[in-house]
Amino acid sequence: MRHSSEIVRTDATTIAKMVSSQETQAREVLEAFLERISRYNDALRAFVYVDTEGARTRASEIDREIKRGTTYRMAGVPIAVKDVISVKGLPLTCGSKILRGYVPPYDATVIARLRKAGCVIVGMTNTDEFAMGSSTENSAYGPSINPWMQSRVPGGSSGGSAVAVAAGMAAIGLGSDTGGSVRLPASFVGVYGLKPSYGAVSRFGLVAFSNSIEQIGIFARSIGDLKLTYSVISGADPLDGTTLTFDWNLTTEEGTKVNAFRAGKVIEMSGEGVEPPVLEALDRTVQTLKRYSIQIENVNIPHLENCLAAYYLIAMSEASSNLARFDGVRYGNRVKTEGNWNEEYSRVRALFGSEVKRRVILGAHALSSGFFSMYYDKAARFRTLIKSEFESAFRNYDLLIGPTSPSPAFRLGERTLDPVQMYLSDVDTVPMNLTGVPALSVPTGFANAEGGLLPVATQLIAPYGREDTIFSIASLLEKAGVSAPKVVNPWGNIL
Amino acid sequence: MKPLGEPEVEIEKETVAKLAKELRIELSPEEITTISRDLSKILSYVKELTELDLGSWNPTYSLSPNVSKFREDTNAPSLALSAVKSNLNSEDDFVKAPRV
Repeated sequence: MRHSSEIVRTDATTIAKMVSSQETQAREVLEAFLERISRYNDALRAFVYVDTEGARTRASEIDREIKRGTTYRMAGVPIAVKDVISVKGLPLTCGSKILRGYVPPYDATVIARLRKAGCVIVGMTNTDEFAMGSSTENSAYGPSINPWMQSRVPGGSSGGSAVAVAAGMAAIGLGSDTGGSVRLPASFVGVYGLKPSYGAVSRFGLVAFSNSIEQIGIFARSIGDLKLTYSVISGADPLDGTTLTFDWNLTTEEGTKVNAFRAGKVIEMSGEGVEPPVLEALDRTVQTLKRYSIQIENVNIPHLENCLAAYYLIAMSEASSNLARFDGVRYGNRVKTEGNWNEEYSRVRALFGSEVKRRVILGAHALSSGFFSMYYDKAARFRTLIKSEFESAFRNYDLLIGPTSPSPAFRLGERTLDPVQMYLSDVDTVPMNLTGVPALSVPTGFANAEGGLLPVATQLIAPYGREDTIFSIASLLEKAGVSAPKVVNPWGNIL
Repeated sequence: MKPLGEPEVEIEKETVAKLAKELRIELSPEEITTISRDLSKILSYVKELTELDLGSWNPTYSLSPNVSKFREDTNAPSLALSAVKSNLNSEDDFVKAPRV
């Protein structure tokens, strides 16, 4: 038996071991996290739905199964799930009024795999509507708040899951990363946030926003937890034709030998416009890696600056097609049947929030016959160019590094009036979505602001399919104490 | 980051209204004004990209190395009909929809 504040500080890997060895019970672990949720969720708005009873039932079931001899890899680990991933029987709204009342009749593949591994699904977490945003302010439920400072956003769009993990309301969080939506909030709240390689993790059961770039990602407070969760959810899934299994094995491998590694510091990510504390954290990372005999040189990705424009054209075009399915007939808020089809359908779709409307309309414009070659097609060709620039960098380097975001968390309301300012938050994260390579946000320092601290982060970027490299390098930074994610009470008190 | 000046590309309100009608999204006159202003800003921002000469690069539409991969055709349990129907706008065993 441990004190509950000790339980919520414990990493998922240790929780799983303790529950498996019956040193503690899954039910006891869950209660410690539920207590934090009841204490802090009103202030932080991390969860939009907490499945208290369902989670208790499942935790007790896991305890009974373990007594009978069943083994689990993630026994009793409480998980927070972004409100865009289907969990059978729990409401799914994508932070939108249009889906109010929808309850998925099936589990996403990632959820099915986590359940099988013995995880406990705690509830659904806040997101920008349909994952479209960089701050989690753009949700029908209202904004999530950064536990480090009440005036600041937690980043987005997976802000709810990031806050849940940072504030000790869940041991692991699931998000989706279409243009940085896992890495940016991870950076703003000081936890690890992984965007896997495109195709590494099944998207079956994830509500599609932009299929060709999005991936389900993980929030965690240790590299061990990240590896464990990744090894449970990744791998080919017949229900998502883009998935594959990489041929290295995280569970048996000691870790890639990194001391002959070469890393490239991306010049275009670390120059003008980057705030000093972010650069200092990057520098600290570089110095630490050098101590482990990793060679570090500057590297150019010449067209990096154009990625943001290409990203938004592709994401909006795909969104305009994907969101056509929300018609109020098959799921969510229901249409009246009085008027004609077009009128009622238009009325239901008026329930989309302003950012979604903006993107869907812009996407339709970029795909329309007169503008296709100027916008969507141009962005698709640019993607081949930027992919080749990354490939040529990876011919010389095993890893690229740069900041996750040029600044720490910004103020609530600071960027909501100007869409382009909000989009610029993603300037350092979208290139990895366009190119499909894996990237991890590692908390590497703090900035002073308004008499408190705000986390800043460094991004580790590996060639396609080389998550093993990322985990090995990140483990070094963890071992050296450069990154040490903490559970934090509002506002900024480390537990 | 480049500075953001006055929009260089202008999207007319009529264009926004027409697109919204095609997309079946009801917009208020205020929304049409805001969206046309925002779209002008966004498209001005992407102008630099549209001016790149990318003719020699083929488009990339998918990053997956898998090409048209089919799954095995196997038997599996269906979704629970009651759970599916509870999400529908339905009456008896019919889906209710507006007049076409």
